[in-house]
Amino acid sequence: MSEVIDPIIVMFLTFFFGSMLRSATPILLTALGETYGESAGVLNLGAEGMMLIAAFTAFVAGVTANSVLVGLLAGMGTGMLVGLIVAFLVVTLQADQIVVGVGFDIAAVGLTSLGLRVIYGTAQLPLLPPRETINIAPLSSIPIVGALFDQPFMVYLAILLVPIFYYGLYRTRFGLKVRTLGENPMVADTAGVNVFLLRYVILLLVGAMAGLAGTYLSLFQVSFFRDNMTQGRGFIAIGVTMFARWNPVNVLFASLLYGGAESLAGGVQALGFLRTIPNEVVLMLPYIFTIAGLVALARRARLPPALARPYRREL
Amino acid sequence: MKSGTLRGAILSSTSILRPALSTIAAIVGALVAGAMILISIGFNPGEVYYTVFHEAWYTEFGIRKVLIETLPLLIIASGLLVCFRAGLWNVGVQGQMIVGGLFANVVGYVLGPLPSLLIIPLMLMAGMVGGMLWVLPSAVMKARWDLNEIVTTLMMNFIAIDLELYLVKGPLRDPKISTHPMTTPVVATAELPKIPGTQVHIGLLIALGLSVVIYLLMSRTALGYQFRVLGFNINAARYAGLPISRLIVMSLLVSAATGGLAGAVQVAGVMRNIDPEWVPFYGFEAFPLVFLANFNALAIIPFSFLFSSFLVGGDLMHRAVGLPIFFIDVLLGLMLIFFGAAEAVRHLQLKWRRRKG
Repeated sequence: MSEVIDPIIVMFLTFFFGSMLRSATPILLTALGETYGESAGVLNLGAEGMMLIAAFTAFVAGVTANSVLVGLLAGMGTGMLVGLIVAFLVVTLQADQIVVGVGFDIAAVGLTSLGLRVIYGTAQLPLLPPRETINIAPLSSIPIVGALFDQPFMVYLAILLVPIFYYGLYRTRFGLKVRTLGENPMVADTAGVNVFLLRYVILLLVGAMAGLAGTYLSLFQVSFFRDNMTQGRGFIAIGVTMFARWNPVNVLFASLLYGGAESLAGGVQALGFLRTIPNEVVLMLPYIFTIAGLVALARRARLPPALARPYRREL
Repeated sequence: MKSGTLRGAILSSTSILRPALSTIAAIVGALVAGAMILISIGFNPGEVYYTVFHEAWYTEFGIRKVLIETLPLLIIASGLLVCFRAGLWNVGVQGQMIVGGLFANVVGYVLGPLPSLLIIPLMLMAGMVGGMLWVLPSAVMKARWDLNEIVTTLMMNFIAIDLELYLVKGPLRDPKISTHPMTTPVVATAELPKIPGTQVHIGLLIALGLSVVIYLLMSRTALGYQFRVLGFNINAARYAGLPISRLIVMSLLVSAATGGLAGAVQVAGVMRNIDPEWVPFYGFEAFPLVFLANFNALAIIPFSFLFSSFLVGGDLMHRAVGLPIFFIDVLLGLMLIFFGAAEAVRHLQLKWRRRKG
């Protein structure tokens, strides 16, 4: 098969399929968390900041302890810590979710860039050896699409979480409570759901997922930290959540769409494929795809009515 | 009767103090939290804060730079005020500023032979048009399909950065500058003149005029009132028969026009041409400012000056003390978070008092 096609095209397609899943993973992880958040009426605009701070702490902890596991736990823990702070602000104090979220995004850019210089100064950043990939034996030897089955462990983890998150949200009592919370918090409250506690739990989950995504960016996709390395991925994840209409299975497809666009851009750059199209135009693709996806799938999508509103018990 | 007057007293006293209190709480809270961060990384907060303001206000170079950096913040914040008031969150000012700057840059050398009196207004208008074009898709998608403008305007920032890279390295590159890709500079007559007797260009007057215009728009006109109704409660606006879609598009266009204008003013007043590395962050830095000024366009003037002092002082402080300027972004982000918290606490307090009274 591969001898009849131009070898450059084979290389390009192999790269494309291999990197599509890797590019989709950070979006998928964050968006799975956001799916629960938005279903419960919490619009976490701080996702970008959570990812960035987690990417940073995961990198620092991972390099210091020379252990990916330590980095992973640090990144996830940081995400949860930020989630807890956000929960205190928007659930207990009932602060405006947009104001708090954007505040965290701005502070995160400053904190991580500052921290990087305070810890490492102007010296060369330490590097971790790149992550081993896990290949699924017979499948990974198929030409071209075999690249789909030779991925770092976090990629498989993210995909395995999709059915779990779907089941959790649509097939369990917990999921029903979460969705009721986004539909009408008063009904949930009357039915005996602890609205405040549940929103805390949800924000911890949202934080943990954004933390995993950040960890993935600095420890799995590359092995270093760079200023503002999230590059809008937190916001893309929010967009993906919306055009997937809060369904984890759709979130997977939407993330793959984004991942496909990013890996197309990367492949064209890496292999000098299609030289007639300027690099910069290709780099726009992931963002254009996100907007196009929103237009195609989220037109007049019905938002959870309680989204971004604090719950107050009226007397 | 008694409880009625008490409630009235509380309401009237808080309505005077309300804006000031949350703003003070936000600034003090951010400075205190910032001081804790500084101590934890081995810096002396007193020295850092002193140096920031000393460098910004007590050196001739500093104060001139503070005034120049006030401009983009003041212009952008005035526009953001309009869309925030209408309940719309334009986080795409960065992109609008870049596109506005590119438009103004092109006009500033293509129309080179024109006299200053013509070319300068044309450049500024081109900047506004560029900014508006860049928000138009997001505005229409919001108005027609209720697509979240936060996501779409943010995506447009990244698209603008790539567009800038492409144009500056490609079609707009000045062939006469061979060392580094740059656009062709605007002609000398297109540069904003200095205010007589000062080192600051007339952009300052434009910015001050703009904030007065926005103040009048929001407080004295029917359109401003409609924006506020829309932002207060979209259902109320609908029942009142307001043209919702048109208001959404208009408020975003106003904020993007000022974003583009800020880009044009930077090109015409400061940079003359565009470097591919130019990625202005003012859009995000102006975000907290609008809240601290409590949505008052005139109050935005001193707060822009304050924020500019932080940024310029922070930059100069970096050289003096060795603390990276990123600390200032931490402070600005914290201000926004503390402001949100302070407003929420005031809300809760007010309700708690009302219930007791």
